[in-house]
Amino acid sequence: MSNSLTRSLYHLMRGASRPTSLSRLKQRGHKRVSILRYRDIEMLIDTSVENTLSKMGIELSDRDIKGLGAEARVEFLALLHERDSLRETVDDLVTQQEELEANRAVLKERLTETKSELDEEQAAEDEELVEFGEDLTSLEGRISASLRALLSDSATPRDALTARAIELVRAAFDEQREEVANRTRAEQAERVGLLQRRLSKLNKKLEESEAMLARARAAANTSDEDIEEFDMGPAGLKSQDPQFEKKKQVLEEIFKLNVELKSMVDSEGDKKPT
Amino acid sequence: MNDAAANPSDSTTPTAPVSAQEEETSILHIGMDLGTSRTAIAASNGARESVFSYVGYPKDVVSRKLLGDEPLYGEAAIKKRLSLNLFRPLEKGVIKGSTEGDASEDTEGNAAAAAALVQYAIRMAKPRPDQLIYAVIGCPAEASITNRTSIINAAKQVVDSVMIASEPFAVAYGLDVLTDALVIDIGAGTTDLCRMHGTMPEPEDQITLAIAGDKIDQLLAKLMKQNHPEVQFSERMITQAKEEHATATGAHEVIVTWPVNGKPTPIDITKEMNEACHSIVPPIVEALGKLVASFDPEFQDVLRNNVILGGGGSRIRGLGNAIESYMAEHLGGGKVNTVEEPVYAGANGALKIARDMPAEYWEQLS
Repeated sequence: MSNSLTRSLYHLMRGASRPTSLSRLKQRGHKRVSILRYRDIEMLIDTSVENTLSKMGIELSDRDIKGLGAEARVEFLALLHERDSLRETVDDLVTQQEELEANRAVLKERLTETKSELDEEQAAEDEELVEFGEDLTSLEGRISASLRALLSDSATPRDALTARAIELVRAAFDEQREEVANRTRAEQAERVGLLQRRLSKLNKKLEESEAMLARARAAANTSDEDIEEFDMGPAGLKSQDPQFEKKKQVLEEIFKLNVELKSMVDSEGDKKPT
Repeated sequence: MNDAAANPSDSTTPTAPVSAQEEETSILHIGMDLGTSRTAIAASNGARESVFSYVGYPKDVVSRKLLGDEPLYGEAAIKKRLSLNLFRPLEKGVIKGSTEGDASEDTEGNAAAAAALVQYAIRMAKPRPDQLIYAVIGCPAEASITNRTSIINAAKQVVDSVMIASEPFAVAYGLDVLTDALVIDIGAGTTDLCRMHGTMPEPEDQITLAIAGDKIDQLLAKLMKQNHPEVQFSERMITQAKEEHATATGAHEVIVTWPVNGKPTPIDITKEMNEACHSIVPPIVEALGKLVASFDPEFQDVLRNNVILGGGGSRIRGLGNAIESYMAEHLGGGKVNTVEEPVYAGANGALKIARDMPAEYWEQLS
């Protein structure tokens, strides 16, 4: 593999890998991870080209095989590039998910506000009509009383006329009351209808948001659940290490040299004026 | 009198043993390659990070307003260098000014910058606040006692226990190659050679050359001035060109686009790059020859055929082959293998030492 291809492959693999910490993996129950070196991948590519040719019974010159190997690597790089862009997409989805979650919270808040607005509006309709009706009744009473007083002072009281006048006033008031009530009801119904349309729209948006959120969550969680194991094992030199004795000896020597260094550092510290 | 003394039976009460996992998570082992050009760390929590060894402090009120009070590190510091007092605190693999008789540099400033760099590198490993940090830091093979103690002083402010190990030895330990091998660690400031023969390398097993990446930069700059006087470039541009295109094969064309009279112009620097990169081969092979020649004659052949090339310099294309060719010409042959991850080979090895080191050793040094 040419150096530039090797470098591209290496950088892409490092770029495509997702850093994670040992403690995080442990939290997720992983104990070991399999590690694949990029050189192994180079070898795998070459071997797969050779095996495929062999299975197909195709005999090619070394030069042609190398050419195919190079093409396979380029193809592999392209796939890695694709993987890279997919990773970016997943990152975008995660961001989108966060935005959607924030949006959903806003929608829910708005929905609650609108519902309570609607409740208040509906309660207000009856109250307004009752208040208006009471006002009209009191006005009607006052006008009737005035009419009676006015007509009773007349020299020739006409009971029938008085009764007729009061009836006319009452009819006019009833008509007016009905008209106002109808208008109020219509206005009220319009406001309620508007609120209901807003509620319905908010509910629809919330549903869409929930669906998008579920999709974003599913897409963003496709990474690395298949990592089985990651474990550096407990610290300390293993007695079964083939070079156990040699390593033990050199570690002891490193330690002794560092004890000397430490004593020098400590004595330097003691000499420094405080 | 404490409770245990007051009631002797209490002292025999078995305490719950600390499980391996608990102990494991309560200690963070870190391996660090504190390099002239780049500092790399590998940690037992899986973190592996590197940063260019630059520390920059905002130089005035305007810079502080713009960049904040905190120092900048690595690439960020390089990018904002015009607004910063920029330190590259290491030279030839050690903290500037820490070599005996070297008073030319801002010793205190470099020591503080080195300490800040170590702190930043440790932070990159993202230790938990309650974790004990045990670190092994690699230093050049022939670093003096003063150089080593200055690194300890820089590190001890942020780690609970620290050890220093020779950088090429750390590379070898990381690769499990403790016998019959020669490790070459090419950094920016120094090239360290170390002969591995099953025990701790002695001073006569190690050679440090002051010929490494920085020398290549200097020679490349000199050759560019000589062969292309019309081209405008800076030290940083030279280093970047080397990082991207370094080659010792002569077979790869190196074209850079640098300004000529202010106009970006493609320049073919293949010849200059090749000559500069190749310049480190003869002194390295000469030093190799010395280490081979002073070894047991019976094992010289094995040693010559097991040369391991590491460090950032090993990323130079075709360097292993160039060394092999030169060895064939001058030492009668040899085999060179390049480490898989040049940037992290030292840190990985230092981490392995840190983790293999018995816990009681760490405690004694804390």
